[in-house]
Amino acid sequence: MAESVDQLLARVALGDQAAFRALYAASAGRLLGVAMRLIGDKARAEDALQESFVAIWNQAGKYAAHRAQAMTWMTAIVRNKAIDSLRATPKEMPLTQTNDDGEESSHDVADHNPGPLQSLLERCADERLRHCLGHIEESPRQALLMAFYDGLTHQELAERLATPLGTIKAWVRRGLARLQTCLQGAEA
Amino acid sequence: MNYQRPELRDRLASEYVLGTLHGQARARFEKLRRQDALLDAAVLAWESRLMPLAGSVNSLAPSPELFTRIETRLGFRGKPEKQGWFAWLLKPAVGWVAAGLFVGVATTRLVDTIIPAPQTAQVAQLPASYVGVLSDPQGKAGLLVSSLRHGRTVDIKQLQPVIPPAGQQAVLWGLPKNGSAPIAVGILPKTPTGSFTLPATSEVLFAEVGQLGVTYEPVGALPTQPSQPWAFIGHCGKFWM
Repeated sequence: MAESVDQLLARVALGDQAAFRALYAASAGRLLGVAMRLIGDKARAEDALQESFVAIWNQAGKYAAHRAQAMTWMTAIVRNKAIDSLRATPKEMPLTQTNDDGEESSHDVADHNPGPLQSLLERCADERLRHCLGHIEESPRQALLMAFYDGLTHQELAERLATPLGTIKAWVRRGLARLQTCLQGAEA
Repeated sequence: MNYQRPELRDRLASEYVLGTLHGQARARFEKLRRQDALLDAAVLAWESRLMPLAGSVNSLAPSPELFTRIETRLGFRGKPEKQGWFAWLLKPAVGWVAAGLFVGVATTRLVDTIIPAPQTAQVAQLPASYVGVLSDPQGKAGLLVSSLRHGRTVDIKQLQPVIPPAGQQAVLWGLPKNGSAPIAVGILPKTPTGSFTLPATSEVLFAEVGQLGVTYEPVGALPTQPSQPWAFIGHCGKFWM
């Protein structure tokens, strides 16, 4: 039977290059998907993935001490590298358009529509997380999902959702607090 | 902002993991996290909570050459001959070496202070290692660097906080004795003590190196030459008889 990602990462922590190769084969596609979702450009997403695997090799020893799930740990590394890349060069995304009457409106209809994000949430294999997010009010939930999947800052969320920054911050804060309470309740 | 309030710390950790902190706040948080084990633990807890969301994103096959690039970056695909691998890294950047040597001379006295002769008898019992003592431009001790002679790990101890500016990382360089261009050795861990894996054994990397230096470089691939002034620099010596 093939080794699990956790077993492979444990061997990588000992400097095993063959395990590193197997770990890449087992996880790179999924991790590149995460970077691509955030960055939206394959070449840059691959650069972020490259940096991530260099960090995975160099920091695997540190991971062992965390006792986190290997995929969780690696995904967090990839998201951080992708967000760093995104902050350095934000993706091209017109925020508004002006119609013939000079009225501004959001250009990014797809992301205004909770549908695709909602379907990503529904595909989440973690039932507890899905359940808890599902119990958050719609607007805060949408803000959380857009932040997670599209890598948006508070300010960018405010612009994309045409909502005051203060409201966005409150949504995110409240949404995360409710999520934590719900997840901890489920743990208890 | 009072970062000691537990609820604020947890909230910042949650927003950092979610990704909503903007550039400066994000960099500030990362700096705090490096110095604070409890904050780090809060981040790990939030990563465990939120990362399963990423599992529903569609996979995407990487380009076939990407893994080769990664292996090359890590030195797995260097030429088999040690000299060849070393030579590959030697690229001209004479100005930097000159600057490095200048600062290095200024720090000689510091090395003498930190490793006084009477201690040599005791430390000689340690395994054969390469040891570097780096100081900041003011001459204050900054970093201890050591690596077993035939090992592939570098251990680092910060003698003062090493805090790269936002969007930058601390890169360790080896400065060859023959005056060739500095060689990027790796990215320093963010923790006060830590280690990283070398792309080749210490003997290959450091045998011809007389000094070690650290620059803060933009986050990303290891640069081929330093683009910033030395944040720390000092001598590197062979710690065996």
